[in-house]
Amino acid sequence: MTDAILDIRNLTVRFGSIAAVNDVSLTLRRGETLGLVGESGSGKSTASRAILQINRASSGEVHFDGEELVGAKGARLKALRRRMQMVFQDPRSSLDPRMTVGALLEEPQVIFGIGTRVSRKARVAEMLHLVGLDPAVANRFPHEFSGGQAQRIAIARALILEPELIIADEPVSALDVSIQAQIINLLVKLRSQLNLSLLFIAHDLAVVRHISDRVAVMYLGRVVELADRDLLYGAPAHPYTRALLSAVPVPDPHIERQRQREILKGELPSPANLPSGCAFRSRCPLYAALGKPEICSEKLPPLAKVVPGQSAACHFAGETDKVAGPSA
Amino acid sequence: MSAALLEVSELEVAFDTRRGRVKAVDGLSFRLGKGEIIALVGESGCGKSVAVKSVLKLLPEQTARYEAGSITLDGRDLLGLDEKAMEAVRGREIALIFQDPMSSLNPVLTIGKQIGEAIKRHQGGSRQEIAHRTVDLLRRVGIPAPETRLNAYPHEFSGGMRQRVMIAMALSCGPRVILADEITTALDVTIQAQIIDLLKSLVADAGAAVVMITHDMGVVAGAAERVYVMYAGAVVETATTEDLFSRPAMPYTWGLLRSIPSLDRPVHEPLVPIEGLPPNVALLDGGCRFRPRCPYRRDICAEAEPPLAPAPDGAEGHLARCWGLDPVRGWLRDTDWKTDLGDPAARAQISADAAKIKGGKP
Repeated sequence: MTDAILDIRNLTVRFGSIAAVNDVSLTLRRGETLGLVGESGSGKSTASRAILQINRASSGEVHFDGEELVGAKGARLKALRRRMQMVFQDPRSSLDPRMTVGALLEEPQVIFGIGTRVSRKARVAEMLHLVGLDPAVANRFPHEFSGGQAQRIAIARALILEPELIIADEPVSALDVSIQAQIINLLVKLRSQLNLSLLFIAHDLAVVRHISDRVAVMYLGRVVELADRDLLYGAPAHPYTRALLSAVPVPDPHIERQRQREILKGELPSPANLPSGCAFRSRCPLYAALGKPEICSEKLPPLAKVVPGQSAACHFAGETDKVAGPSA
Repeated sequence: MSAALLEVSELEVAFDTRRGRVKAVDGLSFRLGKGEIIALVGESGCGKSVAVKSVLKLLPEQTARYEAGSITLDGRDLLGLDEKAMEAVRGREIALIFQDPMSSLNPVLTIGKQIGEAIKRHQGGSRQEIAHRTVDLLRRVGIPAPETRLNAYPHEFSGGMRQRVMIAMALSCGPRVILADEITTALDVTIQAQIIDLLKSLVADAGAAVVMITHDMGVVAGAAERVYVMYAGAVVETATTEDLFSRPAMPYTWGLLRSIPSLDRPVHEPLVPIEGLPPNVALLDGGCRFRPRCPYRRDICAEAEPPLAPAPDGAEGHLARCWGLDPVRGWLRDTDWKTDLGDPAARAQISADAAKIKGGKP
């Protein structure tokens, strides 16, 4: 497939005996934004790091524009990495405090031997302008910037090599809401302007909905639902997705008061000691409502198509409505 | 309005810094009735955490100055109390729960010991009684098999469980007021929903009253009865939750509501950020404090700080701080905040200003 910029097949990342990412398969089409959501410990960050080969895969394949990344080393990996860049959650800790903004933005170009000193500086000015900063800030240090400004710098740094793929790991979750919207709008603008493919990782489902074309939901290392945005938010197929959506507070007191919440009982099980069969079983409202069907504890549900554009890893994906209320 | 349990009025708190005296809280007023949940909302640096600490007089004595205003609990003036009397108020009458339970729990003491310590200090009792009460508290906050968890250490608990432990500790002395400072911010959304539900049920059962400090408008909409929106140390708008969300009056509140990505918004509706950067309270210049980021500003906004005055909807207790709403000189009374985003030239100017750095640290 040529229109897939990123093709992840059966990716597993183990730390000791724990599979932080477990048999994950995802495809990111060129120009598409794929949202990756999940709670802490779901493996979304590990998966993203395994794409860039920061964490090494234990098994599985990651193809970037048709080239295998797993096992890639040295010059070949370096050349591939130039085409995919990462934006992290905390811009202050991802920018070296001792380097000026200009030096920070020049560095990737120096590493890849791009341009002359003069042309590199011109490129820095151009990038700063693109992310909404005054090019004159190039001789300032990261600590002089607010969180939102620093994230703009981190984005400029990621984009300066003209990558095709951006992996953004919780890029707005450390920012104030008024600033969050600035950065989301910036990413949306740059995405279309530069024809970027974007893997957008976040725990905030409302933010992900706003920016993504398709969304993958992870739970304990596995993708439990993968669907087009409107399907996932409009008619979630997996009970975990349903519960997640129902837990998100909505800034409208009328809606909040009338909402029937599906509050998940209990906590995430320890990844070292997962329930047999479906790992979500221990918290699953549907499992309880259906009278604990045996298949859930015996067989791992595969990620299977529910309707075109939507797959879920649940034996009873079509029956999520049964939880809504015993009276129905 | 019922009689106020906790009332803060016109509070001003300043800090002595190397660059002179900085007012972190400037004219904060709120009242909390029995069994009520109110919310202080605002972004980082707006003074909400300082406000909470000032209620308990937990600010550093060397640098913090109470410059004006009063804090009363059931009519008793807290600012006049000496340290010893304050100690009796803290925990027993007003309890505080912080955002990050891991750094507020002692990592080398067991959970049972830490909760027991609070009970022992404030209420006393035999070891057996204390253990019994501890188990009881853990059960009330929804910790499964509490008897077996007494000897566990904080690191053995998940974030949500630790927050429950913090709530149990806060409840241990049956406080009348709970100050909850961003208690769900560090938690995953499914756990967040559990904790909010717990807090609501505790208010209903135990009759405690809660001041929630948060930046999350969604949490506010679901839990609070009244909202105080803070900006740069001052309350800029207050109303019942209902009124605030259906008829927000002043531009900062509009901006907050427009910039939140929410599941109930039409998916293609773009987010409208508040342009510019949060202000440095040390550099306020006397006019309206939101003016540097306000696309509806006019000349008068630079001249003087607007008073917290009745909002145009006339709803009881709906107050807002904005010259644009002034009954005589105002120009914003009929503005449709969802469609009129203010003067485009002003918006452009604000983002151009934000692209630069002004002298000194932001």
